[in-house]
Amino acid sequence: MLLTDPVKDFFHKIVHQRVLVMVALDVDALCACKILQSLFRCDNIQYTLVPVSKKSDLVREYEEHKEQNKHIILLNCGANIDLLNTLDPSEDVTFYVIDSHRPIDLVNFYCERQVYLILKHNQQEIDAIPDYDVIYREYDSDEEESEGDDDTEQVSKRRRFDEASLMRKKERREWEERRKEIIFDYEEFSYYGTCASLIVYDLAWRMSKDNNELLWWAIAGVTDQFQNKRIGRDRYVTGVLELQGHMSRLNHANEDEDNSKSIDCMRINFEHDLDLALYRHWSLFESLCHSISTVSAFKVWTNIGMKKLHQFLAEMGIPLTQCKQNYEFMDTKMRDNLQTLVEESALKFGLKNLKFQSFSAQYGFNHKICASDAVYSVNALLENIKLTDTNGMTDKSNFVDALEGLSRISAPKMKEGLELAKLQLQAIRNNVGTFIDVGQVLSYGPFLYTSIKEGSPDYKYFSHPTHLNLFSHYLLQSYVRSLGKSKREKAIHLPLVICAPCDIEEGISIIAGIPPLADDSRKNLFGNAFIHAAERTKSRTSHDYFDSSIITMKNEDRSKFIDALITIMT
Amino acid sequence: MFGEKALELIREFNRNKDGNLGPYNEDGVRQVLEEMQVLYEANQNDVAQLVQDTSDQTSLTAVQIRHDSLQRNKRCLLAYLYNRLAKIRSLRWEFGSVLPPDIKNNMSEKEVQWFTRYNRSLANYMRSLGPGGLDLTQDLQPPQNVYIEVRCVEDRGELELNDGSKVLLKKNSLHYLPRSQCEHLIRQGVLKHIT
Amino acid sequence: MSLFCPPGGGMTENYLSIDDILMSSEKIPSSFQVSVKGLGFLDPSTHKKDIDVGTKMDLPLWLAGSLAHSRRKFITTDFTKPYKSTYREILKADASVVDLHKLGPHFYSFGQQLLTLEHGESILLAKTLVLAFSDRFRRIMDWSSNALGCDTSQRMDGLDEVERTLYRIGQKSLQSFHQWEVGQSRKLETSEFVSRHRKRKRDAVD
Repeated sequence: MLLTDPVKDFFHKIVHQRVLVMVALDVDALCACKILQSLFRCDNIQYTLVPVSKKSDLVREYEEHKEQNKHIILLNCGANIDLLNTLDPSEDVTFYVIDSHRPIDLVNFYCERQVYLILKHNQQEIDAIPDYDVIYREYDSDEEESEGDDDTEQVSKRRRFDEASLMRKKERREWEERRKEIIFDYEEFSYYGTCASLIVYDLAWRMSKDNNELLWWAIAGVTDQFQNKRIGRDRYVTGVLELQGHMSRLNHANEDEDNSKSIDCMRINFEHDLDLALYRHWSLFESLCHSISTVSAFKVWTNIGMKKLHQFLAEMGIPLTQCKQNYEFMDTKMRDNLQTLVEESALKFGLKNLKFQSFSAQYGFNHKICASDAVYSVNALLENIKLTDTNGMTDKSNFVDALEGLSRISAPKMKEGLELAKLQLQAIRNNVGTFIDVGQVLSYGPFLYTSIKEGSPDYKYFSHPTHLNLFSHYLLQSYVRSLGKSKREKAIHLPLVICAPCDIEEGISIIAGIPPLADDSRKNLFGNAFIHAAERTKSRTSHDYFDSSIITMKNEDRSKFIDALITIMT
Repeated sequence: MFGEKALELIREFNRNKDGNLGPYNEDGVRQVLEEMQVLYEANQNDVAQLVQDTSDQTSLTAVQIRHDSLQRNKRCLLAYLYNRLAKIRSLRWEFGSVLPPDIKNNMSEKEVQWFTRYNRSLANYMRSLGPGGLDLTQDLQPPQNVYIEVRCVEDRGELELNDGSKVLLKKNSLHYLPRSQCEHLIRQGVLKHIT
Repeated sequence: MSLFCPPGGGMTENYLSIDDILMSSEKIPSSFQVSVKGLGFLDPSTHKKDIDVGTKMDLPLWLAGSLAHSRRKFITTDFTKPYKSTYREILKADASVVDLHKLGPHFYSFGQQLLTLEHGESILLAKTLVLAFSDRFRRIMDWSSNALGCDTSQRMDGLDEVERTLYRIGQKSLQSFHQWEVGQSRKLETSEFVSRHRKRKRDAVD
């Protein structure tokens, strides 16, 4: 059921209760969780946080905690699965779902109690949901009969000649077909709605409990969605503009010199920043070599590309020694002019979208960090391979680490995360280069396909969904840029399917599909396609991730699965 | 030289000064006591002779040396026992009233008795404070908040709170709980305080 | 430093202090002015039954102090090497580079105890001790209150026990200050005893 007033219907309901918060493992969910935590602290609401990475996790954790908690909040998980059916909760349990996964499961949406969805009222999203009458319909009790039943068969034989009954039956069949079609249309694409952190921030704002810290988390949530290409540029800009409104409301006191805040308070600035990965914490050169737009535009994995990149730097007039040393130690003059310099020469080299609207936060005189860097860092902490390879599975300490990294922008964990993020980006860049050089991206007709071999270096990075997803976007964009013009026109409309080893001992791979480059709506049709392909070939797949376009399967079933996928999609 | 064995006890304690309580060296203590017995008897003899024959003063120095050695041994033994007791006392504040078995095994019988009695005195004292008693081992630092955020370091099963509700303590889950209920668990290393 | 009984400091000893007991077990060269009947076995270099007049022996401080102080003057004592004029000159030249721990882990407190024995150079030694300490103290304070989060074991090597204690105190206050700065001073911690206990258990399991 959709909640109209989250303050009254959600927050006031849980004020004197103990709540269980189940948090999906992505930055957006963590940010939402951070905001919720501080709201809970204001009202002394006792809570328990539990990380859940997959649907099976959700079920298991629910089973373990259901005795102690009757109020359960789901962050970035649960909207697209039928909660009542999967968890089979007793009547006194209430779920509050704050999730950006779309489409919303219709049972969740239309059930009258127990499951409450908290959404941002976005007309487009609501309109997309089929009407109640279309999917649910009351029948007379005698029409509920099942056809295979022996007793009723006799009755129906007698009635076969009954005209009215025949008409009803026909009408019913038609209605059922229409229903099927509508549901199919509704569920065809998976995509992301408003991010959870923004919804929770909105809640805080409605209760006048918002401040700069909460705002920063909301910013990180929105940036996460954009950075991992879950939403298009349009949606991102809408989100940013909304946040900017909040920012100027919260910070207008600062503009007045007489009563400005202490330097030790967190300050948030809105700025047009360079869309380069981690450049404030790396050297400019390295950052250019590892950002998605410059990697694909210069083709940095080739010699010519590298030359071109140097040319680009020369054009800017920044000496190589300056470029290659840490940003912190660059000449201040260069640093101040960097944005204009980059922008001017970017024009010449035909680089588009090198700047984007973003936010940065500062604490005291140091620790300036921009939102995208924070997202890189926290993502890296979440998918820290050092923690996973000890016992195959994470022991959830990545979750605690990532929360710690988010807690303050000056947190040492944040620094640690930045270093990890650099390693991950390096792995991405190296692999993008080899994949394209070796021609490992193949066109299978309706989609592009590539796979990461078990023996390849850095494969461990790509067993994690977020990282795999980021890699496939790097790869797709670079691949398309590396093609000739006519081929490029075609490839730009093709989605990419990528396969990587997940658990080598068990022989399980992880498969992800991403929408084509040209599509800015980021609607993903692979969720359903994967299910159909698996059903057709009886492959042993597991659709366990909250994002339906990422699945895991047995290695042996892979080829027949891909074949079926080709047939389905053509 | 006399007093070597006693010094060895002190050295042993010193080696482990920052660590936990080492095993009680019963053997070492006995040997020191034996040495003291020997010294005492020798002195008794010499003194008896000195009293009889005041002309020979050469044994006087020997008596003095033995006497000093006796004093020295006594000092070492007392320091050994006293410092151990001080450590045992602080264990009560660190681990709570029940000590882990491997630490308890390191204590002598008398030390265990002393610990039990200390426990009882402390409990009696705490009960006598104020109308409902006062737990002195709680809020060793002045509390800022009624609730605190904690992270669970190990699987600990269910924790029942004062209000009757239960919380499941699972490794790496985070909780927001009344401070009074988790302070002991934090000191015992089951939970970790997050600020 | 023992946890519960701090050393006495100054000229007096703390009866129950582990440090003071260890310090007073260090030996000083002495020579007997009287003969001692029946205790010849204390001198490992001879097999005589008694200790003769004029025998030279290294006696522990606790014994030497008592024997030298008694009215009868059983023994006369001398300074150990690190307190003699050669070393005093070295300390005077630049005390901060000397490895005091090597000269005696309880350099200052032992030196102070030596002052209670009658010796012609007592005044000179007292002056040297004060000068050396004040010379070195500035460096120690500088190190201890500025080195945050580095490995300090090497620096500690050359320090006498008193200095080490001071160094640790400085480090501790620096750490507390840092904790306060990052807003962690109110954090509840696992007790040190417990975490050590757990660690040992873990090691045992591994």
